[in-house]
Amino acid sequence: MLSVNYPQGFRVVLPYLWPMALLALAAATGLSAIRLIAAPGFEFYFGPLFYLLAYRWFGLRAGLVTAVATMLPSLWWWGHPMAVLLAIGHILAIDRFSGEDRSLSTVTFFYQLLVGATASLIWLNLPEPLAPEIVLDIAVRRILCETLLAACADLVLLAVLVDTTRGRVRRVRKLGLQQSIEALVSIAVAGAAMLFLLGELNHVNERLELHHEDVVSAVHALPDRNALQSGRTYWLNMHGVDTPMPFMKVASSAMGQAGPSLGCHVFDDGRGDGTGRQSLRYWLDMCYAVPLGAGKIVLVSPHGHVIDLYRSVLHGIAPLMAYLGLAQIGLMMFGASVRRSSRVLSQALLGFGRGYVTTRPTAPFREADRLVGAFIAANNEFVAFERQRVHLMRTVEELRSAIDLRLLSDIRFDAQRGELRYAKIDPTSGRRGASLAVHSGDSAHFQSLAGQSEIMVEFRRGRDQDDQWYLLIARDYDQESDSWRYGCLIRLRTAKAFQTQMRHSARLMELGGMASALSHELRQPLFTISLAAENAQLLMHSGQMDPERMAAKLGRIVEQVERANAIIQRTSSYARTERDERVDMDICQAVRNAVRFMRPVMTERDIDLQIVIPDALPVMSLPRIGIEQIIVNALQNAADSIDTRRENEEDSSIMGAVRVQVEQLDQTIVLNVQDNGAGLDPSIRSNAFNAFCTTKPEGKGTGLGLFVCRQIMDEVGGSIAIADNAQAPGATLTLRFPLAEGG
Amino acid sequence: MHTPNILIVEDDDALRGELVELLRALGAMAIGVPDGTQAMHAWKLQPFDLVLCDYKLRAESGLDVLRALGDLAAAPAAGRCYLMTAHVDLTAAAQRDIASITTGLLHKPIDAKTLRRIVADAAEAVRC
Repeated sequence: MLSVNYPQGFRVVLPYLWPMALLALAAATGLSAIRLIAAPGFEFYFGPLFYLLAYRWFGLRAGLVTAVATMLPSLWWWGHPMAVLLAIGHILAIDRFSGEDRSLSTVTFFYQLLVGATASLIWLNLPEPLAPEIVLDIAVRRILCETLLAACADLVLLAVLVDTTRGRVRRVRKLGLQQSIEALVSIAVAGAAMLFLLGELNHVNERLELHHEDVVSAVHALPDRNALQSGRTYWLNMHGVDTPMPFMKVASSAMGQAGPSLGCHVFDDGRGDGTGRQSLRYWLDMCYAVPLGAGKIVLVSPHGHVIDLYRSVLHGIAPLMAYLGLAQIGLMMFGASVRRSSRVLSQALLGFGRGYVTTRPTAPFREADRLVGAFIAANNEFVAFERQRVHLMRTVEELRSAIDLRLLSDIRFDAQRGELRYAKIDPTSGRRGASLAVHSGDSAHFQSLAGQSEIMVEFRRGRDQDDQWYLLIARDYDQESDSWRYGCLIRLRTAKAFQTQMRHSARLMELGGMASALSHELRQPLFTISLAAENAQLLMHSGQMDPERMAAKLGRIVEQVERANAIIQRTSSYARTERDERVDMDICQAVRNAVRFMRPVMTERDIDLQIVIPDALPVMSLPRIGIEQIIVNALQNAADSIDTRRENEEDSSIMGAVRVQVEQLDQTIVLNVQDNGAGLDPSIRSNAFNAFCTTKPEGKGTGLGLFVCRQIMDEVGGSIAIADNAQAPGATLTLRFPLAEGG
Repeated sequence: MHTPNILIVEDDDALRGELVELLRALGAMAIGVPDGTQAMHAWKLQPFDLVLCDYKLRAESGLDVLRALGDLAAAPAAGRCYLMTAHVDLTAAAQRDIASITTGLLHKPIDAKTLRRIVADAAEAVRC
């Protein structure tokens, strides 16, 4: 079983890959055994292409195995394991420095520049040093060859992906930007440099072959060639050759012994097949053998010239190598910029929606930077929107919580149970049925609303408590189901306290307005008491202690004190703000109390106050003070209205008339307060019951009177209305008290 | 000293009764009536040196009663008729009306000392 490290980092094991892997390895090894001599001194080998692909596709171990296998033939070619060792180092360097996004060619270039070239310098100078030009040429050859093969591997990897999880080969659909550019630049620059090097080396070869003929001609042209001493080294200067060439005249049979003294191990007399001339080593070890006749030859060493030629090649390739180096450095910097841009984009993407980005990260590339800027702007906009949404949600939630807002549908009032029934619409839990008990005092009001397309009603919860007030807004009445299709319910936390406060204010104002009436009420009994006391005192001082008369005086005093006390009681009850408990009462009694209270005011203003009340009415459970307050308020308004009419008509002789009438109509008790005043002011006709609505001069009216009256009537489940009289001047205030069922 | 005749017009029976009794105790000839009609009737029977009239009677104004009595007496003299009231916030117009007709305005409750002074003054004055 073969374990394979997939480049993306996960490990897969596929049993059937065994034969495929072995077959591929054998094929790669076979192809790598081909040693292609492109030019004298330039040998192509394909090992790096295969082991780099093996590493990328199958992982480190596969890469190492393939590197050893494909580079083994170099042992036979060059007789040393340096190429194998460098290949292993190559794979390890790739594994260490080349990430998923970095190309093989860039790492390969720097590896060969630093490690491969250094190793070549050391290895080639052992056991004896070589000319530096030759060593550098070999190093350049290695750098170019391996970089080009790595770039080829990059191109293959850009196009082909081996899917080891499924055991198939497919086309790569998404190219890596950095990898692509590095591969293309490497293959372009390194390819160009290599082609130049090949051309130069071939040119060197041609020049050396031509050089042989020139050397033969030059030797034959020596004027004293026959006078040359055998075994002595002479120097041959030739046109076009910078370095003089050492030569020696020797016997043909002693050529082998004399050669090493000129640095020659191979002798070329121009008659061979020339196969050895394809090797760089050949030219370095070779001496030309020029026959002179008579068993003599001249050995000429071109070693210095060969070095000169390779130096010129090195001079030619050096700028290209520098260019390749700069390109690779540029690619590294480009790659770093790509990675940084990618990181910045990635951070922006991953941080989307997590909060405001105040410090804008900068991407090296303008295009990426623009994208990041746009993305951050979009992010901040989104975050602002999201925060607004959250804030709004919280506010809504707080509001919902504060006022207990409920969204309702199918709202219906169950008169029998005295319940408001509805379906509660909850954003989280959906729709569910619910009900709310309605205070008995508000039930009649609810019944009177049936059939209205839209209602807005304040009511109390429960049957026995009236602390909790609600506002119901319902719309779209459906006659068939006797319900409103939708609406909302709001808990009015402050309504009751607010109403109480307003009522208190209104009462205080009314009390202020009735100060004269109260004064009159109290001063009358006080005067009577003082007179009775004075008379009693005179009686005592006169010496006529008539007990009967004295008792009558004291009785009168007590009677007047009680009268004053009753007045005080009545007044103080108006000034109290505490709960106005319901009591069983007769509305007629409330009318009598209110009229007794207000009669002095009416008398003072020349207003005839008439009361029409039936002998008997059903007893009702009502807040006594509240009802009396309504009647007092109505009488006060009537008196004010009569005064207004007198002023308007500039006729103070108009006799005011107020009629208070109570009657029972079916299940309703109706109380009318009719006056012959100025009638309703058109400006307040539609909002007479609104708070702070008044036409009275400043300081005379709070505008709370009728508002409070309506609140009280709402509480008791009744209604209040005001309208101009149909046939006569003035207006009529109408209170309707529904009788409870069976009442 | 002349014993003054005093007419009291007051709709509050208890008050009227006590006032009449006190004024009599102070030496005056006092008669009490509850309204303007009976006041006119009494005046026709005998003229009075002093009239004490309530400002707001049950169905009429004390001012109107005094005017009617004045008309009956042809020329009412100042210093012989008073209006009594329990109201404390009379309008300026009402006060002007009162001042034009009456000797003065007496605010209830009227103390005994004031009543003695009024009775004494009436005894000294000519009949109104």
